[in-house]
Amino acid sequence: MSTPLTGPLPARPSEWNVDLASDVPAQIGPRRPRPQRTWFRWSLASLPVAPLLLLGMLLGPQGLFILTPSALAALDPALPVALATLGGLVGLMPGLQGPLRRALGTASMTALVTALFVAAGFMAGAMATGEQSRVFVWLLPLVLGISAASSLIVPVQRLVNPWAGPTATAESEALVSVIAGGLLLAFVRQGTFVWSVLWLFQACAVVTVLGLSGFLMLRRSASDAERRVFAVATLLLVGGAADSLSFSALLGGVCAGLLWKAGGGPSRDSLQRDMLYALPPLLALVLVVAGARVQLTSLALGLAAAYACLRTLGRVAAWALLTRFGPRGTRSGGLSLLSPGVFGIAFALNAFRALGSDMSIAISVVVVGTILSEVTALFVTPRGGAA
Amino acid sequence: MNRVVALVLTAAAVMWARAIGGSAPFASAGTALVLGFALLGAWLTGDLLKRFRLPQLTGYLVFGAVVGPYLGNVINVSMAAQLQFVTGIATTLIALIAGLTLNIERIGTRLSPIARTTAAALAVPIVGLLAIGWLVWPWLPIAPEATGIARLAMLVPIVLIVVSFSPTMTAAVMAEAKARGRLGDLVLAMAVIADLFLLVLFAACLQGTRAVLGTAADQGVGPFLARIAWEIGGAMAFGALVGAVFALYLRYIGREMSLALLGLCALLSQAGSAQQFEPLVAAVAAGFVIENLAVMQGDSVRRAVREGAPPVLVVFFVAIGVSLRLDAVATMGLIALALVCIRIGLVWVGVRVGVRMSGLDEPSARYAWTGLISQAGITLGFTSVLAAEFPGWGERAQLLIVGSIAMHELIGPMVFRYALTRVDSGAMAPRPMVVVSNREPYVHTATDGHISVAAASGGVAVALDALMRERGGVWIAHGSGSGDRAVVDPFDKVMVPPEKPMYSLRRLWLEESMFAAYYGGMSNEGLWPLCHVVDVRPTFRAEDWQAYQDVNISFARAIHQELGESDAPVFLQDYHLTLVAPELRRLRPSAKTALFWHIPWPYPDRLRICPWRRDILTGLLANDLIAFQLERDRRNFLIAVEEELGAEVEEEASRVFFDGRHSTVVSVPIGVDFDRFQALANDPALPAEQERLRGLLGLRAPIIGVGVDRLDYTKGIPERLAALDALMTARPDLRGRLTFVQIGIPSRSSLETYAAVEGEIAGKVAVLNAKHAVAGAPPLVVLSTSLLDAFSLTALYRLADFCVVSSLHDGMNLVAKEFVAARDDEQGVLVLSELAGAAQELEDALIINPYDVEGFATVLAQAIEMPAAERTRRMRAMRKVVAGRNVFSWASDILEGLESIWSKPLLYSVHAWEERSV
Repeated sequence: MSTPLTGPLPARPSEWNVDLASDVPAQIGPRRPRPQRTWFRWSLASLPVAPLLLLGMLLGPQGLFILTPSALAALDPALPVALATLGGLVGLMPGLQGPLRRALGTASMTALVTALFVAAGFMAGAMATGEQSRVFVWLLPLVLGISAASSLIVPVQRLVNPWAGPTATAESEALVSVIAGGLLLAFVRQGTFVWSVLWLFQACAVVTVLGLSGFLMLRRSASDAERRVFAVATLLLVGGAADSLSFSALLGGVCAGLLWKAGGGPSRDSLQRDMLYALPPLLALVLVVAGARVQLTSLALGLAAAYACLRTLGRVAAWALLTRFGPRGTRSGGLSLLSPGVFGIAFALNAFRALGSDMSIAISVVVVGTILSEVTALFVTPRGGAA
Repeated sequence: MNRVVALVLTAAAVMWARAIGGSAPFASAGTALVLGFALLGAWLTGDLLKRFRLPQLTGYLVFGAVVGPYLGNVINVSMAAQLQFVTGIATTLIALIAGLTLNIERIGTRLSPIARTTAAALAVPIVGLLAIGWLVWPWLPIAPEATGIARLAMLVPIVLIVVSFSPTMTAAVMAEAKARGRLGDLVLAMAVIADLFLLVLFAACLQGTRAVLGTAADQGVGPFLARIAWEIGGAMAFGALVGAVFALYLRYIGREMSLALLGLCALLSQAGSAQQFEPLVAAVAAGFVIENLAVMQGDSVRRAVREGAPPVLVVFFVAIGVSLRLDAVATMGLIALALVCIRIGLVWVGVRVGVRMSGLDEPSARYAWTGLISQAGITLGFTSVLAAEFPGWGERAQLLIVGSIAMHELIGPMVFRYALTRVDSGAMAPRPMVVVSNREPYVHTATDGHISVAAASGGVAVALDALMRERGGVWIAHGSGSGDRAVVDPFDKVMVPPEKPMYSLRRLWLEESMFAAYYGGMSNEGLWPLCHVVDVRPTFRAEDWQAYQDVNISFARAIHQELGESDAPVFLQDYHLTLVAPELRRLRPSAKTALFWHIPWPYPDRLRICPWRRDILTGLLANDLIAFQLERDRRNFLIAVEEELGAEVEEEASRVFFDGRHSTVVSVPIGVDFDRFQALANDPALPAEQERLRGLLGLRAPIIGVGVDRLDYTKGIPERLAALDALMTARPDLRGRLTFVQIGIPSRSSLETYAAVEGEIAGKVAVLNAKHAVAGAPPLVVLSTSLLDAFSLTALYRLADFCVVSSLHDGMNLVAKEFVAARDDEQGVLVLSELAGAAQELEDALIINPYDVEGFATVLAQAIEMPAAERTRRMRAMRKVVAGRNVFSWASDILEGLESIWSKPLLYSVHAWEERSV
């Protein structure tokens, strides 16, 4: 075995793929702080959602025109891959035991109440203004309702610590909204419930088969380079299949993630590691692209303000219901879910990719609404209670 | 089988998706799916071809051609168009990598001959093709009606495209063949320089063609020059700016480097087309700036390239394969074939002329042209530009050129690989090297007029000897044997090993007083205690330091003399030779040296004890590569050079910039010859040897422990004896049932500190045996000062129930690893000091602190009473570690590391494709 050297060799296998700067053997003598790499940091758990959205708006066609429409079109193929990666991590979450099982019921309730609040509000608004179009009367409200239903940034904490409780409700909300979103997109595509379900099964089967083939490849990978190629190919296949089927890439990712979790072993670990590595920049890309796609019209701004208000009201209502009827141990922390996270934006983009330019208004509304909700959450969220 | 099933599943799922997909709202909806399919399929095809000793790249191309629209149609025309999305990023990435190869410091001395060769290799084909093209133009299906200046305006860009090369293909084939010889280096450098030149020339020439054919937006000389200035100058300025910004990103953020690199390529590609300047020139400029201005981050970039490039480049080659117009080959096959033959012939002539002009060596002259056959990204990029700019004749020219690219692409990698194989004595065979150590690998001893020879038995000496047998070269060492002078030739050399001479041993004669001051004084009374945190005060004397300097200079001069015209790498061993590199570099600035520091490196406060620490640090930094056993030693060294010398340290890249040059600092834990110990352990004569040892050492007790050390104050032998004392006191039931064999080889006995520790150990053993004696039972401790050979040592290891390594401070300690290597019965317990470097790797040993005598005794009891299942589990885990890091891979890792410092980033980018763990 020979290893070309470009730096220190890890002293033992357990040190591989970890940040050596934080996991070095005890050093004799004083260790000086490293001056570099402290200016700008992000992590999966603390992705700066609103600033990245604002950055996208700044760089986009309505801002500095650096992200031109053609540049945005060139970046489009990366979006379903990012969404599938996000969904894959949801699928890879530890099983529905302990906190998550308890949280699922709570999450279903909070997500449902919030989604209903937002969707009903927009439907009522559309009807009140005499709007006739199918998009504004029911499709947009439902997309916005589902986008508003979750509060999670990235399902990463419990991948590291399976029993980390505080994010369980948010994770479950994400799961519920991903499934609901998948069903909605299938229904819009097929028109009837039965055909939607049948088609959904087929689409899920396609992405699951692709996920399986990647998984099998990874089981026999002979080198780091090969492993990386297979992992990238697998994510491309899963995201790409969902995109070409106009199916929810998030749900496709969840299906594949569940399969990988069931398969276990080094393939799962490898995929999880590569997904966690690639996700922050991919999500940053998603947020910047979403920001750049915003069209700052008066209609969009008005709807966004309404979205933020309805979402906040929905959250408060859900929290009130939870406090009154929720199971013990899940009654606290409802307001900590005010911060919208990235799943709402992810679903809006998903809907845009699957349903076409009709949904471009949804992106504008969700993006601006998310920024407003983030600002609201800054003032309302109890200290230390962020999801 | 898994792979076949997976590929079938993938193909089925892709077809299924196509069947149920219907129309998606966006044209790009299937792009990611196609990319994933292409990546997976191409990789597997490449892997398949590799089994038939064909280049993997050919596999990627073949896969693309087979599934592409002109044959299998699995990837249809619209899907193929989606694949081209990657092409822009990939060609920019290739250009960026080309820029990263342009390190002024590295190629400075070789630039002139390479440039001359390249100039000829370009000039001859350009002139030749221009002449032939002009003559046969009326018969070419491009624009036969064109005459005069219009014909020339069309012909020149076509010729430039036809001549262009493919650095990526060249580097990829070299990486596949693991070639590191002059041929590969020459060809790669030529391809990069030639394509850079062609890039600029093509951009300028395109402007001329536009002006002549009247398609330029601005007519006239002024606008023409302004446009060229913008396309080239603007691209360079933009690229330099982006490169500088990226360097800042590297320094202050430095995260997700591979993705950031691909983002950079996407930015250059997009900005280039949006702002009407040449993105490839911008990418080269960016790479050049990163490589030469952000020197400290250079390795980070290379690592990012190695990690991020393979998927992109695989898809890129598939895209090339998909776009290979097999229909063009069919329609323009004969003309394309003629073009291929003429081009190859002219390249051959050009390279011959160039090599003759520059005086490069003969194998390169004979075979360099083979590496210039392949064409890929840049050529395709040029043709795309031509077709887009000049619909009509440009498209017809594209058809012809793409037809010829298909042929070049299929034969180029195979021919170049064949050439590398033919020149393998220079390119792929191991290169001779120079090993320098204080101690020699073979000692000749004169006894009663008879001269006998003995090989050094230490693990490092054995490994280096094996490496020298494989590579050949010269080993320079101090001649210490009484018969050494009698066997050397007039140049103080003798061929070794005696039974089958394979390399030279050059002996250096040192006066006894000088040797005593250099070795006993400075090395072992100064540096050794300085680097080991034990209760022995280092002694530094000016006369020792002077002798140390003089001896190091003598070694450097001997190396210089032995190297002659060769550029063989020099591998220096240990702390005795810290000042060799600066003197050697003074004599020979281009020398390639690596030094392995076998002992610990002191933390900064302790290092300050040494009055000549700055000279030592400066001396070490004159090496290209400095290797330590442990990560903590490497870090302590980096802190030391930063604090003491103010050297610029890039910690992540592990490089130091000092005195105008770079040194790479790595940690490479040394191992043992695992297979040798395995073989010895399975020798049928082993039981007999064990019986002999039982008799010799009086090993009648049912429980046997062992310790094997030089009698050195760093080994913690008194502490070990104290722990045995405590154990016996606490567990009197063990008296008479346990014998501990301490093999203690006297070492450096002339030094006071060593003599003292020898006396202390002997005294303690006597006291211990008397204190815990049981009538009729064997003694508690057996101290043997006889050196055991490897076979006897293995037999002893296999006799022992446990082995104790209780160093107070140790660089690595190979006894721990030898014990593990010898125990293929998966029995035996290793008790290991946490202050020995081996403890960093052997986590399943029982770890002790030798200063905690009670705790040490408790662990000894645990070792004696450990259940068999746990012993097996621990030993099995440790054996995996020791087997995976043997002494041969240690040595070759360091040498490969030294050589890779001089290899090109392109090699890094493609070498990753071939990585296979064993």
